Amino acid sequence: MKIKSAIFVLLVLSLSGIYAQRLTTGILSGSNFSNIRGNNQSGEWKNKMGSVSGVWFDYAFSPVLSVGTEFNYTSLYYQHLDYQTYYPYPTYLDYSTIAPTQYYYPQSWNFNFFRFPLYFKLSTPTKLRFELSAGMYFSLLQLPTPTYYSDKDYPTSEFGKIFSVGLTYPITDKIEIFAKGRYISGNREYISYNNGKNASSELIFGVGYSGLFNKMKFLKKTNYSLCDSSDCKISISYRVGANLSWIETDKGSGSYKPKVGLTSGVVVNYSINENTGIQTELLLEKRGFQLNDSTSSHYRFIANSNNQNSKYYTNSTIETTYFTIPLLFELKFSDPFRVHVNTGPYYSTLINAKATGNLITENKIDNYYNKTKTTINDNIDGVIAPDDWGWIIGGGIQIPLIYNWKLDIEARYQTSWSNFLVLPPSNSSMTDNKSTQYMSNRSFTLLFGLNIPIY
Amino acid sequence: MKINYSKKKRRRQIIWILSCISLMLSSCSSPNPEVITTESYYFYNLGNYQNGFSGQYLSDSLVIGYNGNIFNPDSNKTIIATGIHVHFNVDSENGIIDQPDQEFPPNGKVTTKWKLGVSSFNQVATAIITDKTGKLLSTIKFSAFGFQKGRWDMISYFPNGYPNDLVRDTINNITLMIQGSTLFQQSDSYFKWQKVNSFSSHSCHSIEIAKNGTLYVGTWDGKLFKSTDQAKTFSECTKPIPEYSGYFDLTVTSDDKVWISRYTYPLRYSSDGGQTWKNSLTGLNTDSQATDIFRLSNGTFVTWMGSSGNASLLKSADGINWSAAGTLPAYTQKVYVTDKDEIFAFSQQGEISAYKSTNYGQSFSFIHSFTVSYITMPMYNTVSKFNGYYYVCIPGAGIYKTLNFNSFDQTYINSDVRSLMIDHNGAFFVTNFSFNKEYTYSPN
Repeated sequence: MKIKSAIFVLLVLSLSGIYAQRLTTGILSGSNFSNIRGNNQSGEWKNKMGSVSGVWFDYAFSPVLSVGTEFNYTSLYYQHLDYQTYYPYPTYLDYSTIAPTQYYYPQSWNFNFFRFPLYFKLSTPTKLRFELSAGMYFSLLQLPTPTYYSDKDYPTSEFGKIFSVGLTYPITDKIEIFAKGRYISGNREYISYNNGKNASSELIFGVGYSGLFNKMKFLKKTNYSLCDSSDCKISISYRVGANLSWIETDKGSGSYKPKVGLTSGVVVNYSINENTGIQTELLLEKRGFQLNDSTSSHYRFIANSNNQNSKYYTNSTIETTYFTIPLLFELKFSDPFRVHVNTGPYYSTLINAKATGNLITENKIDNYYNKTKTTINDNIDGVIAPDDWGWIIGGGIQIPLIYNWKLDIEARYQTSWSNFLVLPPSNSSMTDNKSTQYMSNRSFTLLFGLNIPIY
Repeated sequence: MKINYSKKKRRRQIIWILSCISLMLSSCSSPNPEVITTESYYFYNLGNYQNGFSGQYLSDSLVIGYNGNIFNPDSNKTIIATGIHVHFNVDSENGIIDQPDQEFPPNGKVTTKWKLGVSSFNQVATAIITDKTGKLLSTIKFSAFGFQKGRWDMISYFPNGYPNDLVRDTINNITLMIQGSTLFQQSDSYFKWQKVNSFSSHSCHSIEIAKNGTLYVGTWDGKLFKSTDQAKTFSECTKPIPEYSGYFDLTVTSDDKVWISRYTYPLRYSSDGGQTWKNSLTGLNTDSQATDIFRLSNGTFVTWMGSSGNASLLKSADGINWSAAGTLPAYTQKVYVTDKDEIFAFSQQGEISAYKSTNYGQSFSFIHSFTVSYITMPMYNTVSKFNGYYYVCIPGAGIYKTLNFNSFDQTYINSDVRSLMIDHNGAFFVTNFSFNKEYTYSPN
């Protein structure tokens, strides 16, 4: 009942009218959650919260396409927590210790930036607009507050990428409010500890005003009309769904189990003719797998981990977050449900990778026995390939709704053709002295979407 | 189109949205990385590596103690681990354990006696320690060495496995041995040794005993000590080579003169128990080291030196001025003089040959040849006399027994032997080629 109500409210808000002001400006404010990109292999990088605030400008070429810029002040905070041993009681080596002790050596970095993004934006031509934007930014570093001893010189400026999705709603003829989620990713190394580059997710809110230059003729409000026939060539669709992802590997395949994750994003579909089309997407996918075996690694099976002195029992979940861009060729078969199949390549770029779970270790060395419980919480971007590409095959139906809108239901199988791992050097303690180990992503995804014809 | 919502519905929607946001935020957080020790045990043991007679109880009990804790992270409480059990396992060749199954008192210890088996020398008892669920916590191996009279036993566990030098005092019935670089005194059995505490701070190289019972010990740092009370106390002698702080060869001749020899330094002796030293002046080449010094019954001292296969016998009436006494057989490696002033030379040319001189070294005649597995240089304690018999250790061959050096009986065949020592009861201690094993034999 609640879900039905929510869908109904969304439809009502969307159908109330179509607005497109040529020039809109406003203020924004929000929070970011740091998510550093680097060769992380162990320990947790905390998603520290920072602030974002600034002013923005949008120029609309049409109800669908606009260009925007912004001037904002962003604070980015990073903190790393390494593994530390918790001794709940004095050990035989340390009888002088009375109270339980736990040692952490938090390493933290604080940065403040002036940022100037420039981006293109796609919007649904509805009153409640779903918006998707991508672009670049240039930023200037304000004096940092380093607390990590080895970092001395930081880049004073950097370029980066910025992606956002959000909703905008006009509360009056000239004033609109919005909420957006953004992902930013810089190109310069700021943290030597892990060769880390800036990255963060942002949740921002803002207000826009479109009445400043309304007296100017070429900026006056323009009315646009939606494509409302079945001959529309272009449609967009907002999709959300769930995936079941797993790993194919050449070593220890029995150690891995599938994992359920979320998939969401935007689809743009172009109909070549009545029965064929091309479709591209920008999806945020949480994929991964579960590891459950006797291995000393937190994220992969290593043969012969157990030995006479040590035994390991790992139970962890590996979660990888990707931006995925497929390019699919589509065949459409029949009305009324528009059964279709599609297939094509995809490219994914890694946003982050985490391993969480538990590792039980038993050590029997000489006359000493101990059993430890390791709470696994690793950022493991450094051992996961930054890119993933492969092939998608899928199919689905479209259920007609009002105003020529449709409900998309699609299922797809996704297979990767690249190695999931970037193996550390063979002399590293993290390897099993084998130079290669092949692991590859697989997933099955079920997506639901709201398809809106545009042209 | 106009939609009317009741306040109740709006409130439900807000709660629903807030619940979803809370759920999403909570799912993002995960516990900090950490390693918690949930169980910890330390087991200590006593009574390992004992020496004993095979078929008899070891003198000390086997002891195992433990300290164990279990931590519950949920309740943040630590308790002492209890119900810890030990099972001693020995096979039939390794004797019997009096109390093979025991449960530890909380953070306490268990003890048991071990009666060694009779058939093997190296014996092992394994203590298998489990918790109350049967989980294996530790395996502790106890080793013991079961010596048996009338049988050659080999041991390589310190101190027994590292004999370097030995003296026996048949008057006071004591034997002292340098094992490694530590001075030990034999206790109630031929295989039991106790560290000489009065000399434990010194690193020993060689030991000799004079006819008057005075013990002399040379150290690796160039010092000489003596004891006149059977190693109860030691006093330092005048440093033999004041400008030198390394090891030297130590010899005591039958007139109780103490001799010190070292490459590049003149041979010197002390006739007053190490208080003053006199250097040799002529006839000796300091490029060589006089390792075997004897006093003949007429008071003449003899020694030998050699290089590049050529060796000469040297003699001196006063220990200061030396002259040639004769030519030794080529490749002589060892010289020994009996109480009857017979001089024996052992040379190595593929095999070890023994030569004898009865004219104070003017000429030598071949008496016996020993087939050896390898060439060994230098030769250390080669000849030892006990109960009227000479025992000759031929490196690479074994131990030979002779009454008069005319005929030899091989009493022990072992190509690994190198140096022979005999204690005051007639027990044999033979080092291997690398000085890290000891072959031991005691007559019944």
